[in-house]
Amino acid sequence: MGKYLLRRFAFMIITLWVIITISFFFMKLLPGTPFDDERIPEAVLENMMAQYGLDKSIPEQYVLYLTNVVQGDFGVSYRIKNRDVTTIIAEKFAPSAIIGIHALIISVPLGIILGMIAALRRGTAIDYAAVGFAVIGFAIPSFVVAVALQYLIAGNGLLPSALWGTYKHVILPSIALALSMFAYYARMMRSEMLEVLGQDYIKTAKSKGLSRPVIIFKHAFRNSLIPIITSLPVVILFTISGSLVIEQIYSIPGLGTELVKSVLSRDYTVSMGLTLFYAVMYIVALFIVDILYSVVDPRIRVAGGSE
Amino acid sequence: MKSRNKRMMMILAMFIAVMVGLAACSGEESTTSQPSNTSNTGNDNNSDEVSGDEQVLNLTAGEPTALNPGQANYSQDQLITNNIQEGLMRKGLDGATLEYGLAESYEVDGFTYTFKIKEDVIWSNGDPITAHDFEFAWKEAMDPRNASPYSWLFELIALENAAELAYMEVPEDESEAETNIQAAKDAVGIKALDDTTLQVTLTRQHPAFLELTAFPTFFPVNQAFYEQVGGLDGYATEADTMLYSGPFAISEWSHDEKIVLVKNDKYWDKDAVKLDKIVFSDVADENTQVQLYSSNGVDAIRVPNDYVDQYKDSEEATQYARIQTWWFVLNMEADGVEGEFLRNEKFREAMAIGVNREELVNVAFGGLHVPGTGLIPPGLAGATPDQDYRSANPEHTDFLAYDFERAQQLLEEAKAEVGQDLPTLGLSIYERQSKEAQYLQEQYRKLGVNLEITVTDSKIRKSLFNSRDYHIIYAGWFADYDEPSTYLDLFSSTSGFPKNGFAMDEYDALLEQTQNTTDKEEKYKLYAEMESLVLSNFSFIPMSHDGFYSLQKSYVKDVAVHSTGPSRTYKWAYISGK
Amino acid sequence: MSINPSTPEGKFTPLNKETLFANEKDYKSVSFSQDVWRRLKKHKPAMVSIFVLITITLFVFVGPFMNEHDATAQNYEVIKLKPTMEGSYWFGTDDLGRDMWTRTWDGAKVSLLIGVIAALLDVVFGIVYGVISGYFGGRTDFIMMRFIEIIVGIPNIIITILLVIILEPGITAIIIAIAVSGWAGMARLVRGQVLSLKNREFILAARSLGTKPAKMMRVHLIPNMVGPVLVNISFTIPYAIFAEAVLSFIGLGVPVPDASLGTLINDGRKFLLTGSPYLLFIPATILTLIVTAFSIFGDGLRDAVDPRLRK
Repeated sequence: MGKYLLRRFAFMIITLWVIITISFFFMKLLPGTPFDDERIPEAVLENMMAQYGLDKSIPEQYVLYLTNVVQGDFGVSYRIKNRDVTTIIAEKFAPSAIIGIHALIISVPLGIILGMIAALRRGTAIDYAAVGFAVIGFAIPSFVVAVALQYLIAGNGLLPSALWGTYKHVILPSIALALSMFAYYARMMRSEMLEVLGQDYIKTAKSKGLSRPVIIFKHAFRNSLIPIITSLPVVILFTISGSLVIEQIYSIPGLGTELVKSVLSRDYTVSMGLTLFYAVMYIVALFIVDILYSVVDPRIRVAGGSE
Repeated sequence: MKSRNKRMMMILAMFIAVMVGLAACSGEESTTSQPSNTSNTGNDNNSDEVSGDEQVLNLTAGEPTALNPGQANYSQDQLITNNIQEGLMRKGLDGATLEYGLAESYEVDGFTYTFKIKEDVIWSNGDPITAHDFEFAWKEAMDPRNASPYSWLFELIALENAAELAYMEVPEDESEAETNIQAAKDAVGIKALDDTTLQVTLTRQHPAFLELTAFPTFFPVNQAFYEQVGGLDGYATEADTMLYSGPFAISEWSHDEKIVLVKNDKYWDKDAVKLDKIVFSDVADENTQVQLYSSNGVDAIRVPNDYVDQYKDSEEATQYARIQTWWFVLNMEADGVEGEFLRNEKFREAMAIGVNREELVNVAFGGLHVPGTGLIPPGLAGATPDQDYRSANPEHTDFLAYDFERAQQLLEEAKAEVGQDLPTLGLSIYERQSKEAQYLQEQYRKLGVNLEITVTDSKIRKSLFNSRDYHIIYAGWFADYDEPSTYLDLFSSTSGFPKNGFAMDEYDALLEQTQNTTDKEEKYKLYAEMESLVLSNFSFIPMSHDGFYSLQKSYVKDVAVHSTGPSRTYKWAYISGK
Repeated sequence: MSINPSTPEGKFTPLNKETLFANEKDYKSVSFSQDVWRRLKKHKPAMVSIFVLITITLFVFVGPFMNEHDATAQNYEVIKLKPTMEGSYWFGTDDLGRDMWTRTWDGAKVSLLIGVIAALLDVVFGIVYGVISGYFGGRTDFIMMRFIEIIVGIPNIIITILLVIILEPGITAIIIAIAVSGWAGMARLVRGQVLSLKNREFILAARSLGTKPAKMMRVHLIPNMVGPVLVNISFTIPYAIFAEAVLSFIGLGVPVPDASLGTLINDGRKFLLTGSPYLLFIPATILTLIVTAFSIFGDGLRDAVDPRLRK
């Protein structure tokens, strides 16, 4: 186990290094500089570039960036004067995470319940309605959902149409974000449940004369949950890391909008910082998936997790 | 460094905690949501039950990129700086008349201005605001190491020895740089003679000098406090790392979310300030802004072009002229056959007269803009107070008069002269210009000129200009101050602005002549001559002049709107009858 | 037991070769694709989806020619017209007086094109990568899979935005950007398939007969993965269509005056509040229909390809 963790950690460092390198050079390929004023005289522009070390050659900048990152210094934003990248990410993460967590709390349990009901009532009108909802709910682009909710609900003054600050502001964006996940989990749960219900051990349980609730909850339900639980870490990661569409429409200061803003304004340090942040989260999420697998399904040992 | 590490670790720890916590209860009633939102319930600015007496204004503004006056650049930077700081002068309630700000009076002797600073003015921390604060702020803004985006303004107003300091190449060696810069700073024509006397030496008269003292770059900074919070890197990065000299002070600055301004009790004219609080929320999306206004989330917005039809008849809508011209910049230094056409004067003239600007403003701008009639937009000051520059020079419109047949003829002649078929030309636009660009594309297609539209952001645009790697850019220029030279300065070969190959000795000579002319009428004659030189070259083709509707709830009163410089002053604003 | 009266007892006649082979035809083993099709036909929702997709595809090609309007021609007399039979503006007009019927179908064509080509690129690259990685295994596999893990660690949205800006916004750039961020999933799927096929008897047999790797991949491995790959494509296409819509939302969509469903929907947002909500809802509905149809079809196909996976 210790050796496994060590190898895993070493690989993580290599991964991060490769990601830094790839995204660093990609960002330097972007046309344009962070400074866009048409009137700024060349002399001043040169001083601006020098102020941020952008006058150095790209390999030099790369080495410098890498050295700083190793020391935990992710630099300052070019767009907003003197704002520390770490602080920006920490601040932006909270709203994204709050909305993401709410969306998860709404969507996952509801999706599981709906999927289960549909599976148990297979072939009935309820099943068709649930499947229809799940498929369409997944297919509507999130910005249409967000705009429609804003128009229909906030337009009537029931909830604030945008901005951030109170609990009321959390509700609409969370629902908008939750819809497609709700649909996704309903579908997933339905098909997992159907698969489990067709397994031999369920037949065995039936023939043993176990009652239906016991079969459903003790055997079918628990086993259908395995793939859902193991998929959760990555889904949670994507959910709390912010949806740029939802954040933009509801004007929420989250990671998603920050990412787009930083790339479009050539705010290299912030874009790089965010890329790294996402990468670290992703690697940690994968690690948790591996551990979860070994917990929920003892046949899979941690050491064999990569296969 | 250590604290950064810690913070990073905290982010990580937080993430892992959230994730493990959630995975463990897999969606059951979770407790993690409770602590995460308590931090946000404290500042309940948008709750509907604002007490009847409290004067609160809810507005939108983008996240400021800098609130250090010397670094303020974008319109939101200037808007907020203008309301939390004060210059020597300030624009009054009517939007244009200059009133005394921190200055009590001034005297002019030749090109030297001597300002008397008010005796009892203080910063928000109680320190007196002195002439030294101005001297320090201006020099800091000119310091080449600080790379202030507006340092060229000091050269523009012809402040003595400003260019030597602002455009200095900074030596590699730090102590050498310090010595050189210090020497240059000592030579600059601004000096605090004592605590209340400020002397500014210009090398020639600049018509907009006084107006510009109301512009953020010229606002004061308290040196002791500035250095205490870490200088350039620390000043004005948070609400508590700056001092306030204006009508309002920042009480809360949640980056990328909102800025809350409260009345500054230390302001010299605080009795005039009626608002208790202004909340600027950062709402990037135009559609969301309209949604917020119509659901009473904010009290005023600028109406996006697409919504003009909907709102122009509303009682809450007011139309403002924004002193701005939008033009096509034709790159005469482009490569290839395209370049040959762009260098051909007949082709350029065909482009200029081949489009109907009346229809353009009606179709693409909902009648909001006015047709482009020259480089200098309507509303910019003329030689006499009763007539603006534009209406005093109606004949310039002739250069751009719509004549489709002549344009076709010129185009044919141009093709014959170049001896090749006209290739498709690239037209680079901002995303928000999409509608007008598509209109123009269709009109030019009818003329026989095919344009291919590329949407580029402002970062790419800057490098396109610099590399001359473009055919046509749909650009614009917003007046920094109320005098034609704010435009005409641009086209001199030394300004570095016309990045399309426009350069004329005749023009440069005229510009120099205007700078040495004190007779106003004479000067404006020269201006007119200069404008027709640029217009008749047809490499800058004016399309329209800006205008916009502002929606403001009827209970908001006395907001001062400015057509140049920072857009609004809320010093006198109040709410009545909400 | 009945005896054919026409054949006299004890006499045998030679078999007619033609009738023999004619009969043979009837009993010929059903090919894989026929088998899939037979099962798919029984899946009603999937058949409805195919019908919807065919109808939309038909409209995409025929629709723009059904009235006299051009997708980019502007007519300032009819700005923001509501859907009407008059002047054959069946979907109304936009703010420059362009016919929305033609624009919507042209836009759907662009969206489908982006979806299909991006998915195909994913398939080609994913198959090559996955087959090589899975077939050779060992160190090659290890390195190739680690590389994928790294790529997947960079968020898709960053790769897509960066690539679109670097390559200059346009249909080609969008397709490439979406394909680059999407091939990893396909490569993993294919590798998994190869690993499970590798130990099957027919592969062992082919290997012991000395089949060369290239031929092995071409003849034995790839054809046996068609099913899962097809299923994956039916989910990749809607993903690509969505991705294009998100790019339009950021302003990096198809350049004007052309349109895609994404840019039409994004433009449509501003009309929701100005009395022309149909400019948002018509393209949004078509996009939803396409994505829904693809995912239902994908479900049906998955069941048909491998009945054991039926869920």
